[in-house]
Amino acid sequence: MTDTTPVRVVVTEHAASDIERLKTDSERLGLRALALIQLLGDGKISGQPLKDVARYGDLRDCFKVYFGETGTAATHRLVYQETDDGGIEVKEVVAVEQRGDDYVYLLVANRLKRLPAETKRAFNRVHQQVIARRSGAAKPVGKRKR
Amino acid sequence: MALTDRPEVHPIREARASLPAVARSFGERGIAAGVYYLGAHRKPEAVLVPVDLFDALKSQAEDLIIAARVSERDAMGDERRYTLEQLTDRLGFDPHDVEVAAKQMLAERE
Repeated sequence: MTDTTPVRVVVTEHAASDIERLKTDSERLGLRALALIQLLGDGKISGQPLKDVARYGDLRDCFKVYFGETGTAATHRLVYQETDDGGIEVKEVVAVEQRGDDYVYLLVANRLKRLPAETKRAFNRVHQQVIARRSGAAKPVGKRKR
Repeated sequence: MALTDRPEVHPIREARASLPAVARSFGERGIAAGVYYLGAHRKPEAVLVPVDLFDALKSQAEDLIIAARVSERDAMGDERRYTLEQLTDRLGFDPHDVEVAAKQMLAERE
């Protein structure tokens, strides 16, 4: 990478809590999340841009980086928002979460207050499922009865 | 149409179909073509304007965009931001271990 623009990486409180929880699940994954942040700050890696899609809203100023345990599928995503602060490129880590159910992208849209109103209910449902799963009271995800 | 008039709001589907004609009109008449409101259920959500008109309003638009983004950030303002060093310390990791993991992840990606 030859770009010489100064880069500053910061982590929001929400994302810090994500990594803290990740560490309680897997010390190794927590460490790898921090390692990713270091690589971003060093300019050694950069993320793939997100899109403006109906489900999440406009997240085109956000980027995703894949990671997981060594030698396994990339189960998690670190998402950062890119801003410019007086000529300094700022990468603000907004969420670090598992990819399943597109949860991480819904979470980012919700945290940035960009979640479309029509998606709010879907987000709440996935969010509750994730919380239930984490508390060990997961119910199988299937067709919902009307 | 005077901008103070109640705007005629074109539904999205209609706007999509009319887009080539609207763009052509903007190209031919410039600012004199006026503006084109669109939105679902007749509720104005966006406005198409000739590029010359936008250029004239650009600096004001930029100020408004920046102010809106600042407000957006202020709404999240109760959130603390951490540097890598602060977060490493908070989570109780050894900075050396983070360095080693970073090198390993970089090697995995190459």
